[in-house]
Amino acid sequence: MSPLRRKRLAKIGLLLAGVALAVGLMIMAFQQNMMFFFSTTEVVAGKAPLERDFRVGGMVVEQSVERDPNSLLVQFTLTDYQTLLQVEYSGILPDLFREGQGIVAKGRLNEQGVFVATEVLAKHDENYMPPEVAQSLKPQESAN
Amino acid sequence: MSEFWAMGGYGSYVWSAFGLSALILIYNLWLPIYRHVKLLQQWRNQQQEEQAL
Amino acid sequence: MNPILKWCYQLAVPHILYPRIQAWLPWVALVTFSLLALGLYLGLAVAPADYQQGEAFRIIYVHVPAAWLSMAVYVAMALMALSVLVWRIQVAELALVASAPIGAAFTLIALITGAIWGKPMWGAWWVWDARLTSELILLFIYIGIFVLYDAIEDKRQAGKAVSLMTLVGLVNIPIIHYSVTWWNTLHQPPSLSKFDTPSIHIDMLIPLLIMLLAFKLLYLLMLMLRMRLSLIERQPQAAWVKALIKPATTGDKP
Repeated sequence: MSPLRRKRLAKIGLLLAGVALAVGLMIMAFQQNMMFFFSTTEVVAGKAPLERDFRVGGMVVEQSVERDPNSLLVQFTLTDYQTLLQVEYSGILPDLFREGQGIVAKGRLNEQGVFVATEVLAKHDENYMPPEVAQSLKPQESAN
Repeated sequence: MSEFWAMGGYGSYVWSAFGLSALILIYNLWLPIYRHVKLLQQWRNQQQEEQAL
Repeated sequence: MNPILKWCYQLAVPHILYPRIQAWLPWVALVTFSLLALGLYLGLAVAPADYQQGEAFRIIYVHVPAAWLSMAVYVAMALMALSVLVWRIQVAELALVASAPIGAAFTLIALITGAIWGKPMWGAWWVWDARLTSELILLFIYIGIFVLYDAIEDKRQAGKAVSLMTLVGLVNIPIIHYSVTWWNTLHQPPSLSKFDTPSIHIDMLIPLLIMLLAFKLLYLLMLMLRMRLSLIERQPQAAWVKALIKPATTGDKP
């Protein structure tokens, strides 16, 4: 085989490997993570796997966050506005974590039905506005 | 002014995002200009050598 | 013939296109950089901070335009690919190959700025959700396109192969766009494509739209620069290319 052909073949081989990698990643992501998280209703209904880690997404219930004064332990309740789920997490929370905020937690259920999280990510919405505007919108919402 | 650079504590995130983007964009603008200049220069040199022979 | 149509047809002729690019370059560059400067000033210094994300939200002014262009460039490339396969327009092939690295650059910027934005806000640089994964695949497709073109020696064959690959890869674009509505993702839904309810306050929206326009022009500018190079690279023996080299040598003569 001429060196030119070998070089060409190597390049095409590299390309095929790249495509294979892309397709592999796609399948991996689409199989496991197509749904990045389960809702709290799905978890309580037992649709989430018990034997491995999974993610649960929902809104942090207002006034449910309890921080342990002596450690990084945080307890809060998560909801999809239908079902409540107790979550326990020990670690540093993202800046956007707050009550009323959407979050995604990774971990698994313990025997008591409490979700023990190893990672908490904040999910923000697509709305952007200055703080003054956000303030002025609040009374309207509660009036509705 | 320093308040502007601090970006409310997110300075390192904001400026690294804009900085890296600028680097990628500038490289993409510079590369074809550089290669265009080089190519014309190379051809001019070749022509001059041919004429010198 | 209609003069506008004639003007457009002439874009497919290398020796007419090249001087046109040369003449337009300074003006396109001037408008692009003016808009970029205005957009950056309004976005970084004038627009108010976000009620939730504070100043960190300003990353939107580079992230969203880059992400938007990463998909728009691909759609433009698919149209060029169609022109190559159906009408055999040679200049479209040059434009297609010139666009791939530019699209890859925008995709890379979207991924990098997304990671930098994700760390403080979400709490993670990267997650394997549908939106982020499909955008990463877009980067691989772009890279695949220009590597494939380089790998095939016969450039006419290469042009066809690359055009086909571009059209096949087009399937990824709706996946990226709708990933946030079709599946649960960590990434939020788009703020720009829904105008019925205000997702972005007007003071924040105007700089974003200016940056978006600036990025579109930036693509045009980069495309012109790359086309200018590939036009002369493609036909070094053509009379009009030879004529380009002349003035300097005649100027040297006493």
